[in-house]
Amino acid sequence: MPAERMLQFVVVGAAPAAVAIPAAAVSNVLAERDFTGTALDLRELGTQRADAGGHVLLVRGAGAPIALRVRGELDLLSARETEVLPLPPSLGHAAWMSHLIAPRGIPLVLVLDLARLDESHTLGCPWESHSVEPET
Amino acid sequence: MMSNLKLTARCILTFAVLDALFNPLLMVAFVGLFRIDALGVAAFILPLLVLGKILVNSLFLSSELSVYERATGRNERGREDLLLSADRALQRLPQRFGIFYATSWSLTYALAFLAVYVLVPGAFGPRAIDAAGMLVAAVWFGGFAFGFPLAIMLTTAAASDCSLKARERGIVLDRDPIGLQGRIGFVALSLGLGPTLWMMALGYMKEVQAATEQRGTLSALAASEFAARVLADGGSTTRFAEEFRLSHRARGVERAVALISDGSLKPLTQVGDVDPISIARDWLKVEVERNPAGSWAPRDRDVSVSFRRLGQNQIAIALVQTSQGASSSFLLSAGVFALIVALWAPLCAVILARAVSLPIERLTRAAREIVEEGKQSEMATLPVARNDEVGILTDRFNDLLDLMRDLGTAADAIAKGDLRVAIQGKGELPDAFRGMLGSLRGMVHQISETSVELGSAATEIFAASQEQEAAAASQSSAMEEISRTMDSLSESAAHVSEAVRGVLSNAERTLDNTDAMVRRISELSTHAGRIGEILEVIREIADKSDLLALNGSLEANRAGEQGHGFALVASEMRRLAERVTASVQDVKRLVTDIRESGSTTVMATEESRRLAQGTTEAARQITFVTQQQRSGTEQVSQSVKGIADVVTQAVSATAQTRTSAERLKTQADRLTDLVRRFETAAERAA
Repeated sequence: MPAERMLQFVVVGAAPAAVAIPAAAVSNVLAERDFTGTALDLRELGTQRADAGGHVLLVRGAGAPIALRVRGELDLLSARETEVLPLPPSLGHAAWMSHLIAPRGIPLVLVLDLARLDESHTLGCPWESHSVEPET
Repeated sequence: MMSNLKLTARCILTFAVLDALFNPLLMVAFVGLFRIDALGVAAFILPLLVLGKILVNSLFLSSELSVYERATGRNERGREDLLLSADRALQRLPQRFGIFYATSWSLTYALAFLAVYVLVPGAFGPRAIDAAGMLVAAVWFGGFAFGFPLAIMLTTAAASDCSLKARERGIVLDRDPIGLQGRIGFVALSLGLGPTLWMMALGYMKEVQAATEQRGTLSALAASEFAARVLADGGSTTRFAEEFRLSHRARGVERAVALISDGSLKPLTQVGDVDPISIARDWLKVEVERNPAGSWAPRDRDVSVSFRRLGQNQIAIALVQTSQGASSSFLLSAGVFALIVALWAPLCAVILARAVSLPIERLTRAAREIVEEGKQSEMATLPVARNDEVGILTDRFNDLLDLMRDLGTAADAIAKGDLRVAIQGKGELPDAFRGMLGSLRGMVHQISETSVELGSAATEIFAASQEQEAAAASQSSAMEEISRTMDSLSESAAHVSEAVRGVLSNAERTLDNTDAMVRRISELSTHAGRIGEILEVIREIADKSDLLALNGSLEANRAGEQGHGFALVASEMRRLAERVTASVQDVKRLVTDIRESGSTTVMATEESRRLAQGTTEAARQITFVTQQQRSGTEQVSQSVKGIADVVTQAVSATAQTRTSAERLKTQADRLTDLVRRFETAAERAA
């Protein structure tokens, strides 16, 4: 029996509001104060803690790279491919989530649908883009 | 107008007018006494002498009344000795001036007689000296009869005024008792003897004059009769003369002599024992040349000589000498009458005066016994002889005596405690007695009630005094205890003061230590802050390391199997960074705790500092207060000792009060007993 493929995800925040982003799509992780430019503000996802540290994730989607502004702890999650379940289109499309990770022993984590976050597919996106200025 | 004059002026004027009125009256008496040629001298001398008399009277009155005028003058009005002297002068003036006035009139009259006697020789007729003597005496009595009552009348108002003033000032006047009977008797004697002697003198002079005229008539008749016999009969003139003598002797003529003379008054017949020619030669020489007949009857001799011409060379001359028998009998009868008047007038006056004065004396004696000896109860009712003014006065006095007896009896009953008596009668005195009795009843009632209340109050005071005495004794002991306590308190305050000084020193050291601690904690807080800054740097480094490790892990994952080892290293780095971050968080928490603890410590230290400052201030205040307390305690101790002394005195005073209350109770009981003696109408009714 061949070994089952492992998929890596960058998990933002903590359960039950944690959001996972496929690690292969993340090209760089920056501290929020080190980033300059426009970022999609996803700080409402991942955690409810206002004092949690902010980060900007540079993600390679279908088009140009996207900067995602997130809040909360960042962690790496390894899940078997079988544990990554695609969401039904009717459900995932509305939540801008593509998959559900259901690993053993940990809470369920939704996977951000990066494909729709491309610049060309951001129409109707619930999250807004803002410019982020580095702290002086 | 007379009332406005001073008393001296009134007296002088009154008696001067009286003297002026008497002057012509006295001149009347001279007519019968003097020859007509002497009357002019008398009419000139008598007014002069009267004027002198008025002057002397004025001097006498001025001298006698000078003290009264001084006493009533403005400057001396308040002097007691002058008032007494003035009253004495007024009392003695009527008698002294009455005598002086009568004597002055007698002397004036006597001097007038003497002056006429000296200045006009032969002015007096026969027996004129006797009449003059009677007139002088009559004038004396008449002068006294006028002068004495008038002097009394003039001085009565002034003497009454003196009496009132003396009574107002409480001065007893020095007045000798005067017998009313004697004064009235002597005035009556004067009133009787004055006119009697006056009329007696005038009658005597008329008698002498009538005898003289009779003598002249007899002698003229005798001369005419002798001449007629000689002419008719031509007989012996000697025989005729003898018959003439005898016939006239038979008529009561003491001596009758008749003779014939020639024209040159040479006797032609026997002369006899008395020679009429030698007696009346001067008169005969003049008259026989002028008239055919004439008669000569001199007043100062008891003979009368008459003549009648018988022809050219013969003159019948007759002498008649009459005795003074008629005048002597008049004098005798007049003297007896005067004696009767002198005896009876004062006797009548005394009898009448006694009829007035005796009841008045009885009234005076009774009044004196009532006033001075208070014997109105023993005083018998005074007899009333007649219903005249004195009798009415005596009757009213008896009424007054009865009223006083009734009041005395009532007063005696009141004095014995019987207030039930009833006062009879009308008037202010019975009304006043009734008012007094009413007030006394009310007063006794009030005293009775008051004495009961007083006794009750005295009992309460006695009990209260006992309690107060005990309380004061206890208070005295307490004061002594307080004094000792205050002494002890003073010593304790000294100890407290010492202890507080130690507390102050410790508090000041604590304050210094607290300040040092605050400084240390502030430094610690500063260091903790710097540690926090360093930790923040470490945390940032850990975060960056974590991100580097995360990015490394991502890169390792993208590298596949080749990056597996790197992924492990990156994973370890991440765990290390997370551990550093966690440690930093722990250290930060510790630093935060340290800073919070430092802040709390600083706050606590600040509180301790404030407490230490408060303690220091309180210790200083305690030291000050303790010193004051010690001083105050010593003063209080002294005061308490003073109070203890006062309380001791109060104990003594309360004991005296208790004794006094005891005596007051005794007096109240006695007062109650005394009041019980009074029997009032209310008690009687009860």
